[in-house]
Amino acid sequence: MAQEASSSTSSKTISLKTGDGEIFEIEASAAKQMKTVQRLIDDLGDDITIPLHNVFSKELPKIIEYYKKDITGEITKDFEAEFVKDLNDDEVKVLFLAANYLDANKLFEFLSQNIADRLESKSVEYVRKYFGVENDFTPEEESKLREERAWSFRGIKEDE
Amino acid sequence: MMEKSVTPTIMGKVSKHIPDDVLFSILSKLSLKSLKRFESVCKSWSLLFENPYFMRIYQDHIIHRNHSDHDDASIILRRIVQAPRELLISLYLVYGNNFENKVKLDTSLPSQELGQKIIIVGSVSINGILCLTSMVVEDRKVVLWNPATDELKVIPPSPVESVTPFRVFLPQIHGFGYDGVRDDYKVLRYVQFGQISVLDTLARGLSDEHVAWNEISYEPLWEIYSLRSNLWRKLDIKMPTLMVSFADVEIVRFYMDGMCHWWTQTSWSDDIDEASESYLVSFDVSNEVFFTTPMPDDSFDLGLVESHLVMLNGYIALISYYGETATFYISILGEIGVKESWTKLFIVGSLSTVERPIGAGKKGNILFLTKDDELVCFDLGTQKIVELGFEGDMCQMVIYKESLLSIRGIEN
Repeated sequence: MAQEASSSTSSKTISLKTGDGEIFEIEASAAKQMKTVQRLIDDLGDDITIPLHNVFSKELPKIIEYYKKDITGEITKDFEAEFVKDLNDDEVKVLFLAANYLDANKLFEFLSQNIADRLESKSVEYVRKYFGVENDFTPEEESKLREERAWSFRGIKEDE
Repeated sequence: MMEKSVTPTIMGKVSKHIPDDVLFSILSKLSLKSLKRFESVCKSWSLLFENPYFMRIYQDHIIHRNHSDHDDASIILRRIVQAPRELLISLYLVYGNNFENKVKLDTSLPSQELGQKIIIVGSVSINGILCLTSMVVEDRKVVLWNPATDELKVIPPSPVESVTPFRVFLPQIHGFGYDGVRDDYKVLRYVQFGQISVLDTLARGLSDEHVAWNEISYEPLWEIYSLRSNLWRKLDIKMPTLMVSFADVEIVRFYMDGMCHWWTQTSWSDDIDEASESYLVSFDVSNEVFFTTPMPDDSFDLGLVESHLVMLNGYIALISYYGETATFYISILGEIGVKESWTKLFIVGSLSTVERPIGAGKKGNILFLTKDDELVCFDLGTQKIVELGFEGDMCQMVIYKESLLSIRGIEN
């Protein structure tokens, strides 16, 4: 995957190196959509490989795939549904946090909505585990709150 | 292929420190029901609704989200002008971010059937179709109209109308909705009967000598019209009715996600001391059952609060106006039937010139009528009022999304 020698920005590709050492190429126009990457390009120049310490080889190709579609204006509801279809809740979360790190707004917004949709049917316990949040209520406090909000628990299965 | 061993470490690392703004971008997109449930996650989450930073993001989301049915929708305004001997009614299609484009609709076809005093049933078009009726209750005719194709369907009279000429037929349409299960369009109405007067008897050329007066039923009833069957059918339920004294004031009611919603009050009983109750009625169009949701509890004296129902970007919202302080509260319903799920989300102060809302458009634009009967737009995001400069009383607002759907096509 040799870098393009051409100096025209339209066909320029940028090399990105993940935290686990793999290198991926994206087009400069896609890189523009990820503000963190763009900032690094502005600082380091577009000829060197941009290091992304907090993004890994499992997520970056997916993100690149999304923005490849974005620059051709092909992102549709169907594409987005397909994009997350085979991802489990934790995989979406990691992808979401990567989008956050990269300051890739469109993907960030889409994934945050997708996570919210996935959490709609989930229990309180699931959400605690999902976000790594500790329960700091006393048993009495928690049961009182649950009683007051009983209506919001109807129809929700209490997961483990 | 990367070793999987790296991933668990990263997940462990990231799941512990999600910054608030990142977390809130997810939480703000949850339904009210889920948010309320997740208040039990931990102490800081139980204080979400008191966290001004979260509230700003959540309010923003509510203001800017669009119910999918209303993407690319515009607005129809119904205008009443008081002329010397009559009321002139016209419909305008209004679009543009600042309501700057206004096109008068040609209502000659519906007016042929209904006369001049047209009223639109409900605050939303359904697949481009409007249900219209006449303000003159005794005229009773109901039509379905697609303004884009100018296709008109006159709904046939109900068999109940012609049972006897010796009573006055007083229908009141409560809802126009879509049955998603049967792909059918339905109109719901409450019919009352009045005694025919002597003058009416004469006017109708009737002689009352041989009428079995005690066999004429004056029991009110509910009936529902289905476009697919093209018939009215009696409903065997007792449902709270809309307390409207004057047919020319179209109270906001709307169809959304399979249900027709309207605000109502139980009637004053003969006992003056018994207070009337206000509540939301929601009619499930497919299953033909209704639900009631009482008004939220308030520490304020009910008499000082005026409540109005609107649909706000796909939410059922109550705009409550406290006359004393000229303050508005906007509450959103978390779950139908659950009084405790009304959640106050917006407080708007110092709107002393407005009288009542007639509906909400995109981006949290709420249209209000002022005390001088002028139409103003209140932007919930910026909290600014803009005068719209429309002449005449724009008294009804309908969210309209054009469609070329054929009414006849459904009937067959």
